[in-house]
Amino acid sequence: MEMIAILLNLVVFLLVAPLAVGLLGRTKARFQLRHGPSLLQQYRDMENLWAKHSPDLSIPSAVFAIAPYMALFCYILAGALIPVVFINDSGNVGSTFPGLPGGDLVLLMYLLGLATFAIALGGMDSGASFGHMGSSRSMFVHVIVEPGLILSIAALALYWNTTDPVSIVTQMQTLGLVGVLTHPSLLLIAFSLIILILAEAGRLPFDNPATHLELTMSEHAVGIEYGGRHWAALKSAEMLKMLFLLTLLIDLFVPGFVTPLQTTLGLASLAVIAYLIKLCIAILLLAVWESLRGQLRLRAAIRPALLAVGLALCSIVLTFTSHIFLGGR
Amino acid sequence: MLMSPLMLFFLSICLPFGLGFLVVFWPIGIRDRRRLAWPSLILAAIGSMVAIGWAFYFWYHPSNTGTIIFSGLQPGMGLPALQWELSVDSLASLFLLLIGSGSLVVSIYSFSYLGLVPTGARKSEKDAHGIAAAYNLFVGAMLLVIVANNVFSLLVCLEVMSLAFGYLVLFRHNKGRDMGKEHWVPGDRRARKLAIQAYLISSHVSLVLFTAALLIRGGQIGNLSFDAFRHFRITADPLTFWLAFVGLAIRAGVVPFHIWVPLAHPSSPTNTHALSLGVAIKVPIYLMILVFFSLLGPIAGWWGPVVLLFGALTAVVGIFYAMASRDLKTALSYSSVENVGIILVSIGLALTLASTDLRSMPGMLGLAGLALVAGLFQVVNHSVFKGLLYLSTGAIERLAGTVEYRWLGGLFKHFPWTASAFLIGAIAIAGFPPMNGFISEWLILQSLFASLNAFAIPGLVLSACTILIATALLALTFGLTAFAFVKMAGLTILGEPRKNLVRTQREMPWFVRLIFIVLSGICLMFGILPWPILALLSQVTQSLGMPALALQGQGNAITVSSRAMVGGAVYTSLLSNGWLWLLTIAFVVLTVSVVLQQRTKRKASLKTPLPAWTSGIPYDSTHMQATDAYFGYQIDVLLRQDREDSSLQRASENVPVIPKGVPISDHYQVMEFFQQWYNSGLASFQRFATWITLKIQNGRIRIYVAYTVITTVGLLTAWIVWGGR
Repeated sequence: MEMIAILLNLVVFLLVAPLAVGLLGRTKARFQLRHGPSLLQQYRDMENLWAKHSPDLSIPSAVFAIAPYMALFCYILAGALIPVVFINDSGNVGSTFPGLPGGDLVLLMYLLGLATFAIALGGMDSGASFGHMGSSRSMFVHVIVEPGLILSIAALALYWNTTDPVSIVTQMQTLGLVGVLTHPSLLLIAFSLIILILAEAGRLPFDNPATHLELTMSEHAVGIEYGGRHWAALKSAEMLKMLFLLTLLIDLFVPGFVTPLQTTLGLASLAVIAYLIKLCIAILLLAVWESLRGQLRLRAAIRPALLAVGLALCSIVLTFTSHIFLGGR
Repeated sequence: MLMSPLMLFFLSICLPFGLGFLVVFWPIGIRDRRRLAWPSLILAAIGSMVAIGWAFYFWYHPSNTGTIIFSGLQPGMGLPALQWELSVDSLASLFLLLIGSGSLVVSIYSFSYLGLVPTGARKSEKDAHGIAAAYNLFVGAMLLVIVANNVFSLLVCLEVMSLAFGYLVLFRHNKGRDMGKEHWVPGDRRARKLAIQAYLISSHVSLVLFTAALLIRGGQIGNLSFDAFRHFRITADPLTFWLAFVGLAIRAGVVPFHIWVPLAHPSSPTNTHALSLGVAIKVPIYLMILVFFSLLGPIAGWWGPVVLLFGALTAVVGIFYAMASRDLKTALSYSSVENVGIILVSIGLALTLASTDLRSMPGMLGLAGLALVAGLFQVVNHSVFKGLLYLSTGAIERLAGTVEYRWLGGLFKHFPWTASAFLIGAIAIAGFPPMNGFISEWLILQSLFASLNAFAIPGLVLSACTILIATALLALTFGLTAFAFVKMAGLTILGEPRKNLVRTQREMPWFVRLIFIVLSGICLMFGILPWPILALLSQVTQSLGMPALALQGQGNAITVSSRAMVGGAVYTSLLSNGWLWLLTIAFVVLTVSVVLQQRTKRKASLKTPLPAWTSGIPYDSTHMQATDAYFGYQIDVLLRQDREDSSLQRASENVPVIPKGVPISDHYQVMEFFQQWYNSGLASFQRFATWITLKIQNGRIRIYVAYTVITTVGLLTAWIVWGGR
């Protein structure tokens, strides 16, 4: 049963990813009074790129070719580890499929790290200036994000007594659909994670995905030597990363309607529709934010990252105080 | 007389390693003394295998009380006799196994590194026999340190170990002298001399402090055997704790006492560097566990937080300078400092949880066991992946002739075995799944989270704060580790060579490749099948009185669960390793398919491969690839407001006592705050000493007469008061 839930989650996750990026692009275009590409354009791009051969380059070794696929696999795995639409863990460990269910936030964080690490190594292997510059920059963002991320996970672990996303989702559902608004500790973690997710996904104000000016970009600079199928893998990885991070945010803070698979067909389709609506709202908010904000200098990006650390610490202090003085959350 | 196992052990360790040391002094019939390294290294390998065998024996038959091997003379009236007493418990047998297997691998590898087995165009190392002899002494003494059970035998073995390694630190010094004028750069000469000076001073200061701590404790007990220490149930006073901690911290390279590590270790040959920083640096950690958990009596509440904070600071500082340094050996030395910090964090956490105030609370001892298991797993893992990294660094040094980033690059295409070994080591040490580093980092983070949950009661707010600080610093460390190893791997093995490689150079010989495969295999094995080794480690903590109840393992998952303090809730987290299996399979499939595809493509392709895009300018691998100074620039900038700040200095301006920083390019260096502090401390001490000397010896005869009178009167008074019984 868990296996089916994981597979269904993955199908939704993989199908929605290009749509999400398309929606984001189109909304941003509307804000700039342009028409923007069609919502389905990303699917066509993918079809086009995956069909191509990748060029044979003289400098890189095998690491260069392995890196984007490794990153792509990491994000697919990350998508399988969280309850996207259906709850993928029935609670009893390893009941049907030994050792598979049960994700863990620390494992998820390290999977994201592994993907960044792989792409950065690929960039180093290209042997060209932009790849090296991009590697250095993207790893720098990784460094400044890490403390906030682990402290946010610590805050979540302190609040929910676990780092298992499935368990957090089921506990969170008892608080109601917008329960996060009435629980200040959770709200603080949510803000902290939103900042970190912007950094990790390479969005404004940390990195501007729309520019192709080599002096300002970091994520795109890493992959500048990639072409054809390798580039398709890298681009898909990027899409999946954004969708994964948004889904994680939805799961951790507004997980209403995420159901176990043993429900009726009606509830199941409601879960899918609710997920799509939540995702659309998140993407619209992201588009508004990106239309309003400019990019920070890379070294000034430490400030929002420190803010995220501060918010996570505040949340921990708040949970502690309520534990000590109120004897509960 | 029936021989006890410990007696047999003592003889069977002393015999091969002692012979291995003595054989190089063979007086007659040898034209080329380097050949003597052969029997010496073979004896070291035999001795290591014997040690591994004994480790397994003692695992099943631990002798929990000491056995006196022989009794020496009594140095004076009322002083205890200098006995040689040994004992082995399961912790000691774990470390015996670690040292034995580490030294077995290094002994075999040394045949290639020292050039005894011809590889390519290299000749054998000039001082191969000297290195082999010192190596034997080093390993033998290290094994005996682990089993020592009284103060005397421990101190003798520690001293022998220090001196043997001191000879190895002279390696670069000797080598520079032998290579002639062109390699004898004055600044470099100073650095080489400094290595041995810094090493000898710091190891002896550490020995003095540690001895003082043990003697104070022994004086209170009235016995120097560790059995008596263990049964003395009164907590040691703060002075003893600090002396023992600082003494061991200097030896382990804990910040701010770490400055000798990056000076001394890169000067030693890379094969023994693997042993000294991969395995031998765990000896002070073993001694810390021994001393704090059993020798100094019941654990005081403040010891744990002290160790925890020092550990977290060590981790961050170590990895920061690892990222800033400009050659592989220095960077890896700093990275060992970082790992010592990570291990100390978990030891500190275990100390906090097992202290007298907390151990009676429900669930605390179980958590302490979990923290210690995490720390010991990190000890084991660090030996494996750091060994792999050092040995492949040694191979890089042999194959490319240098370990400086500015001459390296592009090794992957020419030496795929060595480069893959380095890359796997880098993934493992950066703590990414599915390698073993991930499991130990996961366990350490989970033990921190679980104890944070357990500390949510009014009395423990301060401990919770230390845990929070440690978590934040460790998080920064984990991020920086990934950065540092992208830099190391990226600059050395990826991209295009910055210097023309010798094309005729062949890969390392088959046994070195076998070592690489075995070590990488262990990295992966411990990552995807962690439970067997974790079960062994929890037996070790159980024998120390801290059963790891918070850690359960099924065949396919590790569960951490402990009681949180509030409302009887239970903290649970679970890591199922099916995902790690999937990741491994995907990685293997990807690698195989990409390599096969490239091979077929290379055979079939008619077109020449495309060059890198360089705006039409001819490609230049030295100027179009990132330099080491550039790569760390982003993080370097964070610590300063602008570039003219004092932390970035012209390296060549003034010549300090200890070099002030880590050079990041020919002209610039990153300031090591601690080295600067030591420098200014030394300088002001020197000024003070001069001042006081001038005051005392001011040249006036009247003052000198007054000294004589004061001394005579003082001595007479003392004799009248105390002496005239």
